Amino acid sequence: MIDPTMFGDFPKADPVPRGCGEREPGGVYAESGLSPWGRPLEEFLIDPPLPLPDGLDLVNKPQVWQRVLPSGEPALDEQGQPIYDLLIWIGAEFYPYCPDYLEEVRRYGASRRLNPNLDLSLLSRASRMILAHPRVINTLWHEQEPPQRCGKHVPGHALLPIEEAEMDEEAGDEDEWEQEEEALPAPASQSTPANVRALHTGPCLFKTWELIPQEAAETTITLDGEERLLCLRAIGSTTYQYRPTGEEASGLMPGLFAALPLTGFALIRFADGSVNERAKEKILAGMEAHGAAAAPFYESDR
Amino acid sequence: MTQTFSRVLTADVQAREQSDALLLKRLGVESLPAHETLYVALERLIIPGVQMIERQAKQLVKSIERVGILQAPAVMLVQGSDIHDPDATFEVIAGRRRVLAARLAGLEVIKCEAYQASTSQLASLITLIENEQRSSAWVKEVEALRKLIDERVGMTLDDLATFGFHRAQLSERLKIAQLPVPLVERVLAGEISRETARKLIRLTRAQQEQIAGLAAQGEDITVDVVKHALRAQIDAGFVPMQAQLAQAWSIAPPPSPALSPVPARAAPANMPPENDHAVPQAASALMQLIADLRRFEQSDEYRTVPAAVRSLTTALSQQVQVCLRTPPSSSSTPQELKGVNP
Repeated sequence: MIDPTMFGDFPKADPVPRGCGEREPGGVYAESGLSPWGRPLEEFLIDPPLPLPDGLDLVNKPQVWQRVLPSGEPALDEQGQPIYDLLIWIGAEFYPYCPDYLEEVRRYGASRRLNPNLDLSLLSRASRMILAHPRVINTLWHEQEPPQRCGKHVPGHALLPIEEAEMDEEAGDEDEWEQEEEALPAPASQSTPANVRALHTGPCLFKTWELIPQEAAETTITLDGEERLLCLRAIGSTTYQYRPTGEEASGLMPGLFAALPLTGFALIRFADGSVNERAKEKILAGMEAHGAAAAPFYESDR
Repeated sequence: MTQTFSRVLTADVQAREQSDALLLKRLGVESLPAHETLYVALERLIIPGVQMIERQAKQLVKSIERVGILQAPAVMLVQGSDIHDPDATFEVIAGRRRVLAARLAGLEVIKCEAYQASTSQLASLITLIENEQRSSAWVKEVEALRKLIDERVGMTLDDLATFGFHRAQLSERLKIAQLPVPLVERVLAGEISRETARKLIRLTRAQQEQIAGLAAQGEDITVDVVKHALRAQIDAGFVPMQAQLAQAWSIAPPPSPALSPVPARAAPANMPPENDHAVPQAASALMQLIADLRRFEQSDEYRTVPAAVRSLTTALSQQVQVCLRTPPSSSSTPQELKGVNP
């Protein structure tokens, strides 16, 4: 019999109100928690975002899916057991823009409610939460400006590599008065150097921040020496910034955008202190089966 | 194809009679009680659980306004000497949505199958029979849509939706009707279940043609055959993602000029090796935020915003700077997720 406490402290998601609301009593949540020993969120992002496989019916139906290697063989964990992933749809009704969700994860970790009927015993710490959003693949990328930055440094995605973009901004402060003389923004086709355009690849996930319309912001701020507005958008407990370009966002299509590590489960208590026992049994069965690689769980009031 | 349809219809009726007889036997009832088709005033009909079906009933109103109720609901006498009693009242036991929709459409009288007997067992039985009958109704819808396609009737889903059809359901039926002919024939012959048909329409056309080839050779198209094909198709669709993730996790990120000021940290033994690019990325994002906050504090707009906003900005700016100064080993860095072995 496995001891559920053997895993000690493990990364957990913050139980804050989220874009999709607060966690509900009796709910079972898959988590990708935060940790001081973790890796940057960018490492788990899929950039460019990829189309959903044909025939995958994912909308509002989280699924457990056996991972298969490109060779067609089942992927196995260190103990030789098949790895199962969670496929999850992030709905636009709660997260109209993909960055809404990513910024929330960046601050508080990921927490997604699961159908307790899923076979949770198949999931382990080798599992990933594979996320899809209805508006994440920018099909108009080749007609638009490259994003200011690409957090994954994909060659050709961004106007400038991130470090250069930052250095360029800092340098810009010094000759501010010179820029003011040519304050009128250049048309998109002229504002990007030809050699950058020629190398432009895509679509870049990080462009989705720039495609959020200004109207979606809670606060807009005009900064001296900046052509673009600084916009602050609030969703759930998250407030984040973006700089809209005003470009067309109608080209955004559904796609896969992240594969987060599953760090554990949260079982939210009912008012009487109990949890969803059926789900707990499955998680415990998974702990028996996966041993040290099992996904741990905890019980919480929220 | 037309010949197949008529053969299917006959087979369908026979199958239905057999299933009804089986159902009666299972429930220990010899035969159905006497009933009569009557026109009954809607005010004499009691609809149990109205609140639960209101939304669905509203979807039927349009079609009932246009073409009436095509299948008479079943009602059972609850008060009165017999079903012909002018003061008799009836409870609806099958077709509650239709009756409610008729009421919402403003009809006064509808045609019903009125049952004299009044036992709860009978009510349950008739409800079950109706459901049993309706379970094959989807095949008829597919058949009807296929006819519309074959006869090149230029109707769109929007046209059909104006009759009050459930759009998603209709779209599904239409996709089934558009499957390759050998598969549609199997559907109409009742040899492919609804569950299997739903999976078939998720396959690409090429996959459907492949399975249609098997059907044409006389092979059974079981749910397992279709599931296997669908699974393989989806797995193939995940290959680019698996490849991208494997590549991302096997290549170290490029060095960053922001690396040096941030102290290195030691990870616990049970944690994967730390990616030393993590800290500079978090730090550079924080520095960017501070720079933005400072510019805001220097802007004209800043002087016009409420004092609370100015305070908030200052507090935020200071807090971020504190975070930047704090050695990462003593506090959680919010930009990081715990790593896994890819």
